[in-house]
Amino acid sequence: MEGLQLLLSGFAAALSLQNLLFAFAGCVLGTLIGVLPGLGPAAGTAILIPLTFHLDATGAIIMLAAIYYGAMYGGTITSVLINVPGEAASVVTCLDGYQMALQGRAGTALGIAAIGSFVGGIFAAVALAIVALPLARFALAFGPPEFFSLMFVGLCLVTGLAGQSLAAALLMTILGLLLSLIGIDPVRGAPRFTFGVPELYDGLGFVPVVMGLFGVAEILLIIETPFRRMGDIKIKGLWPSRDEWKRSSGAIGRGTVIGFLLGLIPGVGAVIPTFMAYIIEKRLSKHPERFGNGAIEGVASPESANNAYANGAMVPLLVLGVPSSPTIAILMGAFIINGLTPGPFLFKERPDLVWTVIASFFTGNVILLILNLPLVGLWAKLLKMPYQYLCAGTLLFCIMGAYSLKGTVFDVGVMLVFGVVGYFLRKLNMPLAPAVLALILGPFMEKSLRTSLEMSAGDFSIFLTRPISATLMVFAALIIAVSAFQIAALKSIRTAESK
Amino acid sequence: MKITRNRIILDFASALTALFVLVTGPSTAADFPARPVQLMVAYPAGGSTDVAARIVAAIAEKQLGQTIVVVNRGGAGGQVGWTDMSRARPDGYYMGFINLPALNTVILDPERKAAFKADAFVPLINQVLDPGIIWIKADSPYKSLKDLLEAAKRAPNKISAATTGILSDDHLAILMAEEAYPGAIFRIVHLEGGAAQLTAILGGHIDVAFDNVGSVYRRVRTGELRALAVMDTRRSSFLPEVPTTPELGFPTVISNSTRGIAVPKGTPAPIIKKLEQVFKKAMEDPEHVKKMEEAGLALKIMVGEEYAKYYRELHAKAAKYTEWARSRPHK
Amino acid sequence: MKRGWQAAAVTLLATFAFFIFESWQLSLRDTLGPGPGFFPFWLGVLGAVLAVFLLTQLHLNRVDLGTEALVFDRAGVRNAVLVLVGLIVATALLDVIGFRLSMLLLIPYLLLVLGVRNWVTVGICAVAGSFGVYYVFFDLLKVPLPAGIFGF
Repeated sequence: MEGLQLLLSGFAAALSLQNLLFAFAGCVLGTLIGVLPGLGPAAGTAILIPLTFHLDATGAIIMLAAIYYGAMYGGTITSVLINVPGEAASVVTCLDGYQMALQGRAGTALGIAAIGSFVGGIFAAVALAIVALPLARFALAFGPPEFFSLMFVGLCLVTGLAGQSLAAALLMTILGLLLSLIGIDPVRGAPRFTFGVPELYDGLGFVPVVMGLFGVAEILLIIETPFRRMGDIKIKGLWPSRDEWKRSSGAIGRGTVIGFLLGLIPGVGAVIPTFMAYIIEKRLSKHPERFGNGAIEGVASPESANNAYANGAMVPLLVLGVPSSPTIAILMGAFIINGLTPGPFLFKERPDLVWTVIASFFTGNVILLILNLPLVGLWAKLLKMPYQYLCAGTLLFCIMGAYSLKGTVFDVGVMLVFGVVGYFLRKLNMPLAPAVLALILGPFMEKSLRTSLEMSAGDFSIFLTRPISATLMVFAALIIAVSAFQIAALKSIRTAESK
Repeated sequence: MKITRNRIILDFASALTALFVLVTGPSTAADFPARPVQLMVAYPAGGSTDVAARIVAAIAEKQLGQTIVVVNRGGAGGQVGWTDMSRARPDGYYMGFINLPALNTVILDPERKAAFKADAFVPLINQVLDPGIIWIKADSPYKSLKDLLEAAKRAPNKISAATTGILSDDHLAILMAEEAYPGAIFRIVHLEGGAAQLTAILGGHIDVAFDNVGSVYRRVRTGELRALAVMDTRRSSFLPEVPTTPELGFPTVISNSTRGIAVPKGTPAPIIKKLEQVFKKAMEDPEHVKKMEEAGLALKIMVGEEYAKYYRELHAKAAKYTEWARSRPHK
Repeated sequence: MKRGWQAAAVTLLATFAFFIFESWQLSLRDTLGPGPGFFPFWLGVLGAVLAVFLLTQLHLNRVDLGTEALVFDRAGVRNAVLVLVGLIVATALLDVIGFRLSMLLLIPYLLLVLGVRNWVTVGICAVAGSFGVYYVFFDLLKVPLPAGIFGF
């Protein structure tokens, strides 16, 4: 099989000392950048592009790709240790990862994240190597109406994040959706809810809001009651228990599949696959109440999803030349600066380059694992620092991270405001995750809805007449029906018990 | 004693004044730039404006003697970045890329509530002129531009046409095409950027796309896509086999996107002159020419008054089509 | 806890009312289906209805609020407020005096408010956190950091 042969020669090239060195450098730089909260893979990759000007095309791309998934892992480190999402896709890891850290299991959390990322990345790379072309064609069938339906399914799944009160979760969802609509209306170009403040024309910004809701809020909570929260974190063993291994392996498997499949669809972005994987894992679990309180699957699942996504997103990039997210767009820019056009013809013209890059995804993931696993214990020890320094340091990095997003103080202000909001919501035990999911889905949904209506000249039936979209809508209806049924059943059990 | 104390106060005061003047006083062209300068790109990193900006910045730095930091201030189709620039201090340390006609339409569309007018910026030097192009899937039924326009006339508001944004040069180009072929009406769909157009067209969701040569010429050359026309007065050197709209009988359908550097109004003339010189040299540098060629971006250097005149003329032209876009019944 | 939830529900109601009002100003419908105000308006209405629903449920004690009570530690809150004020001031100063000077002031302030008394450590952290961090991220890695009006 020619593909296999090309892959093997790709490996030979990827394993050259020079390319290995590039992958290594990329992983290290990427992790460092990812650790700085806010500064995600996108900015990191963009900033480091000039570094690669002096390298040959293959080396440059290998390094940039390594920076990308290195940054993803770096983001995980801060999510687990200080509840600050290092970048957008690490938000979900905060939910259980930080709780595990509070229970003294930061090392385990980071470890399973590294392993989950590795497995997710490797399997996705294999899938990429084998089935790239036909899958890419399938992904093209996703037009704006299918996109909207997919997002709608995601929104319906939010009931899985409900916790105690469904009403509260729904309220948070609607709040998130409304907040996501702040900014210039995508269709008419009119500013909405912006009070004439130009910095709001592009919306609140997902990352500053999330850094505030999770990171700053947590710091404020710690300051309020330091001993209750950080008092005596005994670092427990690094190795997960046998039961945890079993649960994680299922989570990793499912997360990988979900991440990879969603990565094929251009435009999905890295955050949504992590949410979907987490919610689905929670729904399938026999003990859903464990999620949000330090369930190891809650870390394994999104972590494998996001690495599988990163590799899956390479499919539309390499095969079709279509970038799936802003970060991938930057990678594509790197291709272009080096005189290459990603697309089907790149496969034919320069198969050596493409397969070397694909092979380096394997080596990169291995390097990342080798690099990070031993350091996990060290990172975990960081939490033993006296809380005053931890807080001051975290706040310093949050300010720096928030500012570096767009080079404006406004984002720092947004982060602080939402820090206060998050503080109160946490004190009240109101669920944050639905708001966050809605915040990210909102703009996608409105855009794809309005674009679909432009395509159909205002006809809403477009969502039900197209096969894929119709299937997704039916699925969404099913989810709602099942949730309603579950709630009704629970209520009747409770009223029966109270009698 | 008194004399000494007064002396001390005087010395102290003059030292403070000197320090104050040194730190906040106006820079003269001679000592400009004394520290790194910012070059703002009003679009996210990785786009063609950004790529071109980084290429020219890397070369101009050496001439300028100070680092040029490329800052991305993307959002709202460029409005966020340009608003930022309109409020920046006109001391030469902040300059930015302006994309025409995008900037013009942002100013002209009252719904956008732009915080600045056309005279808020002083155009320095233009870098790229990317001609508009009309393209379709390789296996699309339309064989020529006339075919397409005829189809849009026979089935008004049924043929879908994609732009890269509301009131972008692509959007205005569609209107120009409709004007040149009365009766033809497209169902306009606004997408965000060229990548979205690719998926939409290749996936068969939309019939035709209006974009710029720089974004798609490579795929046209490989045959993955087919170009119906280039909307310029002469053929593109990247796609010499593609006919131009004047050749096909539509001389009024001329559309392109230009990207050039501007500074906020009020920047001192000597500094403007210096920046113009530095960037002109950088853009004419063979390395710059080569890299732009590789990126598929056509150079069209216009300096100073030439660029300012182009800006004014384009503004007038954009006004006409913006008005039409807003009053069009089928948006 | 119930009081807290009621306060939250009322705040949400007010927020939704704001969105409803603002969306009403934008057009709800235009020539091509829903206008810019359409979705925020109906979302706001839906949210307001849910908020009222939650308020009634709370009133009737039908919401499971768990067993934890809503407690604010006075001394802790005082510290948190002080920290917040410091953050706000530092943020406001970022563009005025630049990153390094702002952080040079903020870090010792934070450490002192939180009870650190070892002046040597405070000093080291202040310098490392301002000038040190600036050097690593701005000079070495070229991350954008505020420069202040003096340009440094």
